[in-house]
Amino acid sequence: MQASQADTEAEPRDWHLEPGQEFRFEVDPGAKNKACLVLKNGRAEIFGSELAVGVEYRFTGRKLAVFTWHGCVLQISFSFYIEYIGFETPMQSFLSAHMALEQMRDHAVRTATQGPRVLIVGQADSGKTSLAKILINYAAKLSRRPLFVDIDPSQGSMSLPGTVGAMVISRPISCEEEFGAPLTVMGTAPIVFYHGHTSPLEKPKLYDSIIKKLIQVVDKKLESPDHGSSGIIVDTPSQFAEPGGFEQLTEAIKAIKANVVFVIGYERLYSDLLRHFGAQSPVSVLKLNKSGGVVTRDKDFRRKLQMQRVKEYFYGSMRSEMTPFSQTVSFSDIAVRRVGEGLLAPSSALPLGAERKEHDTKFVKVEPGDILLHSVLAVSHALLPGAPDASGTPTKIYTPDEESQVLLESNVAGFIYISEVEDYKRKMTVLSPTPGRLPKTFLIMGALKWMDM
Amino acid sequence: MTSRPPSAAVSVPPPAAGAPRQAPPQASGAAPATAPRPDQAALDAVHQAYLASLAELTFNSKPIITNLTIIAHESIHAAPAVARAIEDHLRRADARHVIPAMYLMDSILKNVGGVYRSCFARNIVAVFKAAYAAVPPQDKARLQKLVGTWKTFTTTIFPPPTIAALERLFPQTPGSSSAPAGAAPSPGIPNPLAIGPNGPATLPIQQQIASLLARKRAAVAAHPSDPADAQQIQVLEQLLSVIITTPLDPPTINQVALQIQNMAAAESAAPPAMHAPDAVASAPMIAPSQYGSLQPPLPPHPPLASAMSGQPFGFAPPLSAPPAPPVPSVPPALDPAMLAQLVASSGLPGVPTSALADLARPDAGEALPGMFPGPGMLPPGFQPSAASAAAAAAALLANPLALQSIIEQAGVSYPGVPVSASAAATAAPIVAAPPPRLTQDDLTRFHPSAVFALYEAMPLQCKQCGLRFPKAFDGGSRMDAHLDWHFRQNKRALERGKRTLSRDWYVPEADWIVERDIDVSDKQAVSALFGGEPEASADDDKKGQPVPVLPATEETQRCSVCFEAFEKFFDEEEEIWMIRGAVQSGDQLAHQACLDGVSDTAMAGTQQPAVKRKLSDAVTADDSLLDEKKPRV
Repeated sequence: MQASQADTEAEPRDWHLEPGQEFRFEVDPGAKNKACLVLKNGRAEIFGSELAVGVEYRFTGRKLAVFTWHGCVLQISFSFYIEYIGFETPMQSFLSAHMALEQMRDHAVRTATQGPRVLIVGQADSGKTSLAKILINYAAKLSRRPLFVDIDPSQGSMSLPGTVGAMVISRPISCEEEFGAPLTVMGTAPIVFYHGHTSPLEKPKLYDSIIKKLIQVVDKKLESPDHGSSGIIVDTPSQFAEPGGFEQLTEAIKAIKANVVFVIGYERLYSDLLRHFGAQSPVSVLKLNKSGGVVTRDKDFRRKLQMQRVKEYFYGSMRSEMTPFSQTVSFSDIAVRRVGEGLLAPSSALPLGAERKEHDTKFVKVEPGDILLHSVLAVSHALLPGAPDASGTPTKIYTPDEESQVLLESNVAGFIYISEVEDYKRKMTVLSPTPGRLPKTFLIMGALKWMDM
Repeated sequence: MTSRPPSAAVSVPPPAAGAPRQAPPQASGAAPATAPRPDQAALDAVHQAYLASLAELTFNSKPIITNLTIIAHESIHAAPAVARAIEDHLRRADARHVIPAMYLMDSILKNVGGVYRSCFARNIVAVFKAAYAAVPPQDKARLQKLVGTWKTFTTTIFPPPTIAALERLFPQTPGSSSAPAGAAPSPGIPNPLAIGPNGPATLPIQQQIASLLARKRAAVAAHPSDPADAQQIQVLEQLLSVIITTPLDPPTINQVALQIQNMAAAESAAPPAMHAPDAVASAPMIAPSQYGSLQPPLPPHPPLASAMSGQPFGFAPPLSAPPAPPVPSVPPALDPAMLAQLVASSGLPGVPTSALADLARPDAGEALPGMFPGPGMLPPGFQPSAASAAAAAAALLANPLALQSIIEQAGVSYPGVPVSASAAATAAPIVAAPPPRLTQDDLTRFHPSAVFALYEAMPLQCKQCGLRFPKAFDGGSRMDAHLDWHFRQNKRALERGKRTLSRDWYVPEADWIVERDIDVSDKQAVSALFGGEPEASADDDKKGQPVPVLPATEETQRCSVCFEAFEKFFDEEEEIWMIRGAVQSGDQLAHQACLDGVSDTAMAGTQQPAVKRKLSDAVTADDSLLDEKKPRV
């Protein structure tokens, strides 16, 4: 059960799959040797994205399943940490779900209305993201252009952990890549908002505001008939399916205006939702079985995965390497904000009868210094006061309330990593994904820390 | 991202003649006839991609030229776009880069030929003239030599009048024998009439061939993706050149005349008949799709294929399908053996004798299609020679069971895969079942048609990533665009050593809402967002800008700064002569580059580094700067 086991080289060997079976395997994040898989013949797909025959696919940090509708022979040239053939899969129901959504999309095209707004809900490790990928890939395969909306900040699949976002998927996602692959691979760029925490239960007010803003933007995008008819597919955080998350879930369904809700492997939540929405509701609630292949990812795996995401943001993936740029920035040139507490007096110190004011959506100033070391900061699109906007007029000076509002409503341009802080020189070294000076915009600090190793 | 050479549009392995699962040349040769034509966007994409690839052709390198020729061959469905790209490149290229580009054109003309010949023929005189004017003297000789090789090539590269027009560009034209003096050089409509060694008796035949050719060329212009017409053009051109250049005995001439008359009659009497072979040929087109792998929009061109793989011209064994029944020759059709004889007697160099032997064999009916793929290439008048291929296709058509068995064979069973009943079930389209609705019941039911919709319904598959496209609608052109995208990706992967790729900033909200796919632009378009782009050097910026042009006037115009004559060229779109690199400055004309220099020196003279201005600012025109220089004029 050691990672090193996954690294051992093995004789290439074949796995024969019958129609309807899937080959499941796991590769540790950061495994030195990348697992290599070749489809020798037949047809097979990974999360709905078809494999080409004879092409080498390499993976790292993934738990994957190669499914076949037709039967196939796979050649594996590394021994995985876990590898076996699964006989029971919910793929047939996933495919039926896809077909039903296609009916709705066809109808949307005919009537020039909007396509299905699908929300997928389930507990942690129930296969939500896998289902989302399958539905997205099948739709993209049929030349649809659905919008994938990820409101789960724990993975931040399009960008970094702590983010939520949306992006148009115009072609099936390459088997080796994830949603966060660079623009040249995906063909479309995501819109990303920064929550700064990996759970929506932290700073729930901020989370709700960001989701509302995101959906607003998504709705504007959906006004284009291309995307409108293809609809959206929303992946949700597992906290929605946990005790105490129900209210946030129904809020989200309302905000997203979802009309299809797939509940994965959680009978009680399914019946709760049915009861909540009632038989006459325009929201169709359906349950789907959990795949036998989903595995519980422990905290360690998740943490490694998050670190891998950050690394891939700056350095790209195996197939599409990228070069970040390091530069020195003076403290006087930047303005860092973070959400919430700032310096709070304990409740006991408050005047009798006074309640703590909700600071969830307030941004407060962070003095640059050692506190920023190893932080990953979001680069907001909110311009600094005085910085010229698109039309060249300098941005006005905000009141604290305005500033919070602007920061809340601005999507992020990207992320920088603070690799070194020289407090006495009032300078720091930052890693930026793209060359050039940093934009004259606010930086937002969240809980994300990383070590560039 | 493999290491194989980048391919612009089609990525098929080099066609191996006689490979067991290889689609027979006849079958695939006709496939594109019914394939959807690439739309303008696809053509533009090819044009852009090819133009970009041409940038690396900065010196005379055989590997690069070969590579670009292969790409051109693979993009033959977009031949006009590729030809346009080369012409554009020639127009813009630095004088030193003209020769390699002309050699590339030569390579395409000779190795790929076909529709490219008519594509280049349209503008060759103007393009060549500009190229000839641009190159230094030692290169002019090379260009002359080039035209010499075109003149003597085994098949007609350009019609003789065009060659003659090209030769007139050279000083002391070595007496042109092939075209009557005084014939107006009109590259678009070649005038093939020439009194060859056969005397004026052949003029009517030539005329007929010419009119047939003109019609074919029009057809090619209208349907560039259709190789059949292009092939016919080749045959006709060959025939024409034989008649013009080779002494023939009267019976042969009569026979040819008869053939041509029949062909012309068939052509004019029943134009739809022309497409009959195409219709037949579209049947075997189904066959390649069975393999579930990428099918080229166009067949491999056997002459090129065999030339490149070093194999003699030959005939790949046809279909594994029912053997073609012998079809009796219908007199008075042109005997392929006779054509072979004609070609042989003309003594044209370069045609491998083995091919001639093939042509002369009694079963030459098979050999000919082998040499010129596609049963559709030969008009009804030539029926017997195309008969075997057409017959095979017809046999397939007539025997749906055989077709079915082929489909099943290829579509369902994979070697080494356990075949089970459900596999067969999924492979067969079951349309009867109603589409699933969003109900719990329907979700648990299996809908085999859904699998069909995701796989078998889209038989075109990209070999690099497994993405599928339907055959119908615009699937073919989308597949092409997709392959172009791979081409760019692979190219970038190759260039990674030179150029680093970075992640861009995400775009602001307003841009994201209106944003479309960013497939086309590979560059870091978005980093300009924040104004900081230190990577882009000034040189790159300059190259990106279009070279300024102005309409030319009668007298020779000279730059008011350097007194050099301007470079003139013929603008195909505007149809007027233009001068390159010139900008109007006051009432004077000057080279953009010279103006840059003037402003540079002027700037240096003022000794005011504090008021450093951008070059572009100065160019847009400080007339006063120029006025300072005026006294020198």
